[in-house]
Amino acid sequence: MSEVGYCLYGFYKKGEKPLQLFCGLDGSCLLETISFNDSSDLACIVSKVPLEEFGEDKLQENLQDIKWLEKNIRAYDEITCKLFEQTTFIPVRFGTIYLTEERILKSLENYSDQVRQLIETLGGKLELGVKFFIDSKILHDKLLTSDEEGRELNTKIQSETPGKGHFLKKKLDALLENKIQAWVNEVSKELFESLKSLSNNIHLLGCQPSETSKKMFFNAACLLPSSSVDWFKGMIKDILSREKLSSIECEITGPWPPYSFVNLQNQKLEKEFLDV
Amino acid sequence: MFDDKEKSNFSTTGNQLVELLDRILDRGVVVHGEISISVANVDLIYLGLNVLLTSIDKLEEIRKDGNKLPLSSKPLNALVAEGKGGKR
Repeated sequence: MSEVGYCLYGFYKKGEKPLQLFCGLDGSCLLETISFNDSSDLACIVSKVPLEEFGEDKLQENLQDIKWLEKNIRAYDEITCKLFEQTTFIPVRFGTIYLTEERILKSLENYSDQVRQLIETLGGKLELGVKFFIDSKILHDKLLTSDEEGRELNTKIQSETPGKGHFLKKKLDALLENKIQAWVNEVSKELFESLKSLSNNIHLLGCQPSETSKKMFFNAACLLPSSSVDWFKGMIKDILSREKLSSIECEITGPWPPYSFVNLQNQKLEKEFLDV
Repeated sequence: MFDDKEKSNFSTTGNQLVELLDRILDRGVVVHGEISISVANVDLIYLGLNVLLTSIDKLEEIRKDGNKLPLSSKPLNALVAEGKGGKR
């Protein structure tokens, strides 16, 4: 390997049993542990990576290459998960590279309090992703028969001339769209409160766009004790069995290491959502 | 845990790429390394990936509708290989 840097994966608290280490991102260099200082029980995990791939300019360039990105993101997740299986591991964002070991040590001085607190809060817990979807076309059709206002307007359209009918149809679509949005807002808050009461912590995440009528309207990460995953899924199933929520589809991802709970950046999104 | 009927509106998926990117690029403790990914770059990757995934959704939709689609001349994996949508 020519010039090398150090890729930082995350932090952990040293225990009696040493961690089992394996190959890092480049597939050949083993992971290494570096203690915060001689007397500290905190350490970080790094591995050497080639700067011709992870150097500043090259890294930015590689991030635009979807194949490179997928390969490395999957490898990074695998490494993080394997470490998380062994200890409470606090992951750092992908692509944090140092040029020398001395620089890592100097940087770590700033993080020991935060890391210690995170390890305490997140010990024995994991993250599940919870997404809810509705099919706006199905809801639209449902409202045409179940909503009185919509039903009346729809009946009126049938008896009008094509010109007037066209404008009434636009009015009907706008009416139903507003009703769907109001329903989604109400249901989102109910779901948020339900999930919040079932988990140790919850963070709202951005919804992924879709060009089909199936729309994601809720995306959250929930923090749970690792023993509660099946129980949590069962509770969501119970919630969705309510008549009012029967048209909602749910997708659960994970379990994940608690990626979404190691910083505070999502609090703003949550506040905006609750203030609507 | 869930029977087939229940699965129709309740599914548990594996770690898809977009989920991984969501977590690994956008979260995790932000430590100031000597080289770090800037937030702007993360946003750019997202935009590109959404375009890519939307393209795949669209192709699937068209294929389901039974329309002829020149998939053989531009397969999905070629779109990925070319990094279409992967760049912003």
